[in-house]
Amino acid sequence: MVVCENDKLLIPKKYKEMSIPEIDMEKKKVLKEFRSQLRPKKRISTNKNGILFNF
Amino acid sequence: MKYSIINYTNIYNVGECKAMTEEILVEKIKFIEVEEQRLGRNKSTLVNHTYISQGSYKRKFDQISNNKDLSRLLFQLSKKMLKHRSGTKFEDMYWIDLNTLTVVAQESDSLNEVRVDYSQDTIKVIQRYDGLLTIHSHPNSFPPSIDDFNSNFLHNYGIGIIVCHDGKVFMYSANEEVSGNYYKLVVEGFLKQGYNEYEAQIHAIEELKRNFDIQFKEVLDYGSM
Repeated sequence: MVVCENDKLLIPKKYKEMSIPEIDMEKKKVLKEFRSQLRPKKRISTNKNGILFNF
Repeated sequence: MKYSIINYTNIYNVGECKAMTEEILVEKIKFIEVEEQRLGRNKSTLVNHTYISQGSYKRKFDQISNNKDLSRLLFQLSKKMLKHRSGTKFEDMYWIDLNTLTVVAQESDSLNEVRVDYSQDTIKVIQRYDGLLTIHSHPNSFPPSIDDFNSNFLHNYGIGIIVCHDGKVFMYSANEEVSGNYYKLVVEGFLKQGYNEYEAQIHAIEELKRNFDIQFKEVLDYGSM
């Protein structure tokens, strides 16, 4: 279980040193790798009060 | 507080001030300001108490859901957190059960800046619930962090609300885990294009919305963005 929520954004040095085209290439690579993994989805039962959120 | 030579005389007596050269006086003012920062006070995170008591701020919470009791509870908790943490970089967090509309857990005594650490009591409670609503404060007034999105997914929370010290309110939800490295790359890309850190994070979340199953918006007092 994750036991903290850290809101400090630390960008790795290797990303800081990349140019914009390099970042774009790395983004595609990271996204492809991430998508290739089996990713479960969240399932939440509806609340008894029938509360709807306005996204 | 920003001290001037004039209000400095309210702390030290006037005669003592007159006896000092301006150089010494300026040094003493700097010393007091540094001391205040050391005590955990932070000028950039001061909350505008007048604004958060106004109707326009309250109306933001009416835009979150169709339940008036929940809106009232969120507004009350929001004011409580912002008053408690005004002028600091510490965060408070509350967990609400949407079936009973009650607070089931809270973290409000953290001494770690810009993060919320779960106590053992909180961990025990949240394991018993499904679809909790979380509300927490952001002293830097930034949108949800990557940890906020992933915590929402991993703990099976329903909705997350963020109340910022500058009066902004965000709501978010993640139906799947989000790649932290992807998010950092996107933020860095926007920073390199000249956006400031806040703008870069907002644009990055908009890009995440296109690639991941997440929801996010800033809550305004007149409805959707």
